[in-house]
Amino acid sequence: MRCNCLTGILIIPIILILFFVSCQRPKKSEINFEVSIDSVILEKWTGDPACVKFLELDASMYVYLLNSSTDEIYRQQIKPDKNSKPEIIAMPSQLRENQITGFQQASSLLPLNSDSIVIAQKNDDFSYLLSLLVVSTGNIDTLCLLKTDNRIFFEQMPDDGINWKYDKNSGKIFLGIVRQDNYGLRTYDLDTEMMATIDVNTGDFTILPLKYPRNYKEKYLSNFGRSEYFCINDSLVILTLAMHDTALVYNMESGIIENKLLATKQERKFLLLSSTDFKENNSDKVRDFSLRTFRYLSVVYNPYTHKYYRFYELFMPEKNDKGLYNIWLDKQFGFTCYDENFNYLGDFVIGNKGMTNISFLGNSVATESGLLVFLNFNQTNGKITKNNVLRLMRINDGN
Amino acid sequence: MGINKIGIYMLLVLSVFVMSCKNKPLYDKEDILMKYLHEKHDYILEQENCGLLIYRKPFACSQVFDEMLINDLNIILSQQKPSVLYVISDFAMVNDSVKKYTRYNNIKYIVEDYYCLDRYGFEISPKLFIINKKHVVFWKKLIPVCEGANSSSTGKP
Repeated sequence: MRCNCLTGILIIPIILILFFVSCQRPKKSEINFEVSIDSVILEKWTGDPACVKFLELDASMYVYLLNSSTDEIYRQQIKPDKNSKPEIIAMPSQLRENQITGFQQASSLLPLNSDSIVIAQKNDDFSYLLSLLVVSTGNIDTLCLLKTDNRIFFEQMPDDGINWKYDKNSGKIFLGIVRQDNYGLRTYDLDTEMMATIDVNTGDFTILPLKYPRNYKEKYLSNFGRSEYFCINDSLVILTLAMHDTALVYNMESGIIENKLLATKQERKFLLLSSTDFKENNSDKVRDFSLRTFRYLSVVYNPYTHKYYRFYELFMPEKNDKGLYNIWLDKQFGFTCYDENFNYLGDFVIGNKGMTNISFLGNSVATESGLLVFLNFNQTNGKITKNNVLRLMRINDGN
Repeated sequence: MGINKIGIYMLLVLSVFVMSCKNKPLYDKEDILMKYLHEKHDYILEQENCGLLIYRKPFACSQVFDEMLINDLNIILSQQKPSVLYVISDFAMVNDSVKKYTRYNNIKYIVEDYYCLDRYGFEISPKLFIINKKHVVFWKKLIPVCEGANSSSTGKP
């Protein structure tokens, strides 16, 4: 009897402690989404696209691809389970004439509406010519010319060309830039500006007062580091960085910049690359930085669901259970969801990159029928194929 | 007595240091290299003084070996004199000059899956090993000229 009492006295506090600990542990909210993969067959397409962009027109979704080698733009409507006929838009001869003055082939495009496309040509790292093409007339005019002396570097995204978006409400193009004050350096100063706008009507180029956070350690060392993502919600520009939890939220009307915590509740382990390791080509460190680190990817606002989605790749251990190296096919990715006021709603892990054949997740767009994410062009099970298939992932709210 | 204790302690430290130096392989990833060879190409381990050139082709490059790199390779082969050279890469070397210009005759080519090489930690830069009695007795990383070939895993096929 005495023994039972003692056991009871001992067990009750243990149960209470366990209960208390379980209550204290941060809960990771799980939310449900439906994920499906769409395959769009691109008829009459040849080569590799220099740039893939999407445009929603009257509840229909169109994909635009730039073919630099043939000087053509390819436009096709995306219809689930149905292939639509493509439209080939020949680029005016003016673009080729620009090449005589030193500009390269068109490297990126941005559709504004059904009849207008902005096309970018590069001269050197700091010189860009942006031209506005009116499809119906074939007319092309210079929208904006950025000269080398301005020392403005356009942020480039893999598989997507320039990191730019068009906001039809303000009539402005928003683009990721780096303003390089120290011309001779490739590692940019921490207080470098990050974004600019171009007014489509006037061509005015304006640098927004958004600067790198002081504590942001990731330097612009290589292509791996080009990692600014942004989305627009009415008058708000939400700017995020791959290696940072906090978003910079810029109100275009009031000019106020606020920091908002847009962190996931997944384990975050940032593996950084020092300039020494990069310069000395420390292959293990480069591999860690490019492959294994936790990193945030694109951020999207969906006006149809009034939610923000911040994509990420999870941290990956160096080796698997068999003692072999984990590779990019194994890397898990997903997103965190927030409401309109940046309140955390939950995390959703989609799967690994091998499962979806996704090599880079930077190009995603909100549509009436869900989020559309560009996965890849001509890849099946991680292998390059030549079947002219564009793969897209569609994400719909499940609750 | 105190001096004796210090002496014994120093001897112990020294012997541990000597042992650790002795056991350290010449190539720090020898264990996973041997694991790969054991699981995929066991016959290579049975060879004596055999050469192994292993690399992955960078996505952006049509070929890895240019004449300078071949020259480096020829110099090492003439010095090390392996009985046979196995060349393992992730693509058939139809256009690659390693086949055309090397002066070495006894070469055996093996095409391996890209992701298999990635899983065993092989970099894009070619590495040449001389393997004897299941140990690496010589190795050298060759730096290719081809742009993009210096990086490790690119995250893209």
